[in-house]
Amino acid sequence: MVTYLLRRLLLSIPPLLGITFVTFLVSHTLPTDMVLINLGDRATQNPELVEAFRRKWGLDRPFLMQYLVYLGHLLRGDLGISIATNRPVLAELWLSLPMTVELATLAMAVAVLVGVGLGVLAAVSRDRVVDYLARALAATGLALPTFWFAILLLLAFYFRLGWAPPPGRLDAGLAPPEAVTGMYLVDSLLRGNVALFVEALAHLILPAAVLATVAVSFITRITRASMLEVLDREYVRVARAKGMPERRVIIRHALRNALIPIITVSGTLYAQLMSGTVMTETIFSLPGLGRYAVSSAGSLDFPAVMGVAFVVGVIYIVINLAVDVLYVFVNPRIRYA
Amino acid sequence: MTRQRDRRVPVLAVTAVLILGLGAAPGLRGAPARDVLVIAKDISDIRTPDPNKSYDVGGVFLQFPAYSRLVSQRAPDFWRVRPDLAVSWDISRDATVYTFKLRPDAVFASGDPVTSEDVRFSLLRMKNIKGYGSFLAAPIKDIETVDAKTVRIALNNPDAAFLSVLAAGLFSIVNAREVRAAGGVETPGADTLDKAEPLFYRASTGSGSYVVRRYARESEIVLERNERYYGSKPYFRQVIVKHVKDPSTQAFMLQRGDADIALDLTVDQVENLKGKPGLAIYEDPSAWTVYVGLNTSVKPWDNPRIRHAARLAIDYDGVVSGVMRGHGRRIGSIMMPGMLGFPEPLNKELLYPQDLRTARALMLQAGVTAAKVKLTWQAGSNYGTLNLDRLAQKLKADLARIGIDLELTPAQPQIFLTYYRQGRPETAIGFWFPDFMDPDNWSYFVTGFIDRRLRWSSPEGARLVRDAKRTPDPARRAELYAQYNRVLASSDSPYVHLVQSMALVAARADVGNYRFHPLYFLEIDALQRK
Amino acid sequence: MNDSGLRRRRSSGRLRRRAGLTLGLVLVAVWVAAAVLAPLLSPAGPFDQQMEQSFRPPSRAHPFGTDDLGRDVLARVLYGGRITLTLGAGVVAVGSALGLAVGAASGFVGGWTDEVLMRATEVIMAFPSIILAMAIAVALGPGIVNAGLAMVLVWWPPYARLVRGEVLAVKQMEYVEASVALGQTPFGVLWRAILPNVSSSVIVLVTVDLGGAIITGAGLSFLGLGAVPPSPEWGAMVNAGKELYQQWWVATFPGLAMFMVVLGFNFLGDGVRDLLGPGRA
Repeated sequence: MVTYLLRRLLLSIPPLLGITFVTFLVSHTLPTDMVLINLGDRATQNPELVEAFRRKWGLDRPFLMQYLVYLGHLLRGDLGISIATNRPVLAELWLSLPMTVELATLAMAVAVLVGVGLGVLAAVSRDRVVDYLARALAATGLALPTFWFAILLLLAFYFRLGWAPPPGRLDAGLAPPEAVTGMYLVDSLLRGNVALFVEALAHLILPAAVLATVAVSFITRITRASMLEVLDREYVRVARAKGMPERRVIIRHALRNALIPIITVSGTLYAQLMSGTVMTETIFSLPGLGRYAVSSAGSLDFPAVMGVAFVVGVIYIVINLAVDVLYVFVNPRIRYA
Repeated sequence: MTRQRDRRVPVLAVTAVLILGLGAAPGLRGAPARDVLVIAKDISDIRTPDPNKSYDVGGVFLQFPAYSRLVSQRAPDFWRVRPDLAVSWDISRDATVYTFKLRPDAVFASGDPVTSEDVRFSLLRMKNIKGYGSFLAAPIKDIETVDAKTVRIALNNPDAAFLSVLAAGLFSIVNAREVRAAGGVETPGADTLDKAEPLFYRASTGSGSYVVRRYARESEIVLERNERYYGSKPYFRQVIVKHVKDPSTQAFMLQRGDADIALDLTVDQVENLKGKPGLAIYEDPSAWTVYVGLNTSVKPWDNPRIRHAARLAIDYDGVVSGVMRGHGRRIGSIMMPGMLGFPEPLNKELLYPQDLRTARALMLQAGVTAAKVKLTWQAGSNYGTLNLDRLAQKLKADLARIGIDLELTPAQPQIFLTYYRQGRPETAIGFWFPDFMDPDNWSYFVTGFIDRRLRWSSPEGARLVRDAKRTPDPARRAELYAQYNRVLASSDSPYVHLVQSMALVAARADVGNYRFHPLYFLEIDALQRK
Repeated sequence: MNDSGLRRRRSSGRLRRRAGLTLGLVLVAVWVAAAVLAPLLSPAGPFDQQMEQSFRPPSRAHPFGTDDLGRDVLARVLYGGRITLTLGAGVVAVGSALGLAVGAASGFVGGWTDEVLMRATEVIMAFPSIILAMAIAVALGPGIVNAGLAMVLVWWPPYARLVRGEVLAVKQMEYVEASVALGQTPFGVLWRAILPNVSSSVIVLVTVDLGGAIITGAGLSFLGLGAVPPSPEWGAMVNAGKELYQQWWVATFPGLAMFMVVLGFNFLGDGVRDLLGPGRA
């Protein structure tokens, strides 16, 4: 197992390098003037300022040289300095990443619970009303454009009904908990501040619901399909024939064996949510990874863009690895040598 | 093991439901305090809270309330310069040496008195850290502290506009002692030596009406009243500038009372909010002025007759009433009307009417019956109350009526500026927004900056603005700038001046004494609750 | 539960499944027909501006109302279907073809080719696609074709992985080994023996995928990275009307059209999977 993990980690290095190289290439070959975008129209009339800018950000060096310098820093765990804010990219990511992790995890937890439940229910009652409803629900969830759904939820639950708090991570003027992880839910509990925890959670419910809706649809579909396949298998019939209670048959024999594709799909969805969700973040005024990616790309802040791409790459690798490890726990017959 | 797992699912489900239910209950939210003001605004453009470096639109919410400057400009005569930290000043006859006498009673929020050394340090640091806005300090040659309350600024060249420059946010005066202690450097080389920027993430070091209690990027700015402020005390104890990205969300928050003022509403949203109980709408002429630039090196714009025909073909009133839904004003030249050298009567005089008959006749004289040309603009953007996508479609319809087919080729914001700077658009929707409120800042249309992009030049215009910059006498300056505006409005000009946008702001009805400011959005310190 | 009961349930289920398939087909067919017949059905041209008629609520003259420039929303929704549907279909067609090629090459050739191609798919899948879309919009300008290009670039990896897996499975089968033994060229084996076996799972994925492609395309336009004005693309129309609550018709009708089409494709996808597929999503 350990050797397998090590091998996988080693194998993940080339794709990561690929990602950084592609991002670097893309951000440096765009037909825009990086100095102009960053310094602004009027400042670039001043050659002295332009010169200082180019020198500071290494733009006066050849492209490959710039990339190698970047890689050198990366190896030392340094993601560079953001051009826009003049602060370490890592520090900037620490502002947006925890928010996204919090939101994605909450959304995923809800989606897995609801989706697996709904999927199992649908499969067990195949071609009956429940199944039909679950499938219609899943099809509808996938047909809802996120941006539209997000505005609708905000309109209904915040604006009209007033059940949800205003957008943002906390109410205006409320001090966030002292940063340990950067996740308000975790930090508030670490400080024992339950009221703040509730406040932070309340602000996450609507955006999490938006993200969960799409994820639920995917998970319901895959769970149903996978369950149906397993329910037809010999051992399930045998278990039933032996007179085992239906509930036990379904959960112990069927669901357990149907879990592999469910885990695969959930892992992919989780990775997607973790890499940021621009539209939801925009509408709910959440400073997450998606917004950071868009605003950095918008201002051609290439160290920041590289940082985002790198972090997203790492997220994908870690989640894929976690999925593979989960396989072993779910199905002990899978062994990695 | 399996049995346990069976139970865990429902337990988890119940917990989730409980948590969700709890979340819906009101948490720490109580009744909003009367002396706390919440402003909803997209402040994600703030790149740094360092007042001597921040050249971002949102940065003014840190600069304006937390710092004071030598001089100020206030409604309604924005070009007039008023005292602030400086009680009086003296300008040498050639407009190269400015001497300021400081207020004797001004202190920083920390209690330190504001001295000539703080002024010298702040302005030189701003110049030498080579930030985005440092070009504005380029005229400064040397700063000398005559005594603790007298400071003398020498310029490289005569510059009659320099007094207004000093009212811009970048010229905020910081506490030299505190900034130095945090690693601040004002000497040449400060661009690599200065380490004070992180300080401003934690605190402000100014002498303004407020202090910055907390600044969190893409989250909020929390301002608290500065009890040591030398001017009149502001009404609100706390002002929160809450980052709200989406304008629809801002409108929701305003209507629910979670925000007192919303600053980024679109013209359509404000129209829909009109007449809603509990809300007030404020409308003021903004500093956004918008023009269409015709590239004189491409067909058909190389022909001055056709440029003039285009000018006569546009349905200007339709642009104001339809595209801007009435929230705009026509302009005859690029300056904001009311500026020195561009009084309202002159603006009226320079307006062109829509005259399709003459326009078609001009086309005929030019021997062109049909022409195709590209129109480029910054896609999906608003310049104040003007929605550019909508304007582009309107222009296309208008010019089609004289046989000019505009091909719409919008560009992403990042690329539009590059393109325009390279002079690539055949036709462009351009704008001007000033750095400081002096007519000199609108002179770039003949100095080789904007005019070169359209392959046009006006030696006469260039001479006028050059002379005006050196002329301290306001009456004489006004005359020169008036002539400059006539040049920009001539029939040969590549600029089709369109409109001045409005600053449309919606606020809760109990917020009073709203005063617009073209550079700072509004005078935060003047606001009150009724 | 006895066997015959099970069978009865199955057959009635088949009917219901057919119902889903039919509903999907009808929804899709209606909108495809509407898009094709737009010139006949539209009460006005999609670009006809009438400033003084702006923001009119739905009426007999304008069943879906008018937008900010006084254009007929119904006409724009009908014509917009052409753009939105073409974009979705185009992206899935090109993306699946590309994925098919990469997957087949990867699975069939194996070895280093496989290793390199699979690492490339990983890079693409882990690359933040929004950054890619923005880069393309910046480099080539926003527009429907460039949005399609950005989508295709990230659309093919799932197909490549699927096809590779299927090819690997099929490769071991007897008849493939037989055709190799009979001296067929590698390409011939791939073409005649392997691809037909892979096609059914690709078709299933394509149908399921179409809805997603439409939503993504509209999302790009919504972000200003896709269709440009005055194009009546649905996502762009929703974007233009998203702040108008009193003029709900401006954004609601294109939004609804998109919802119906995607729902249709989802039902269709489910149905096709039940007919052809092995039961996997």
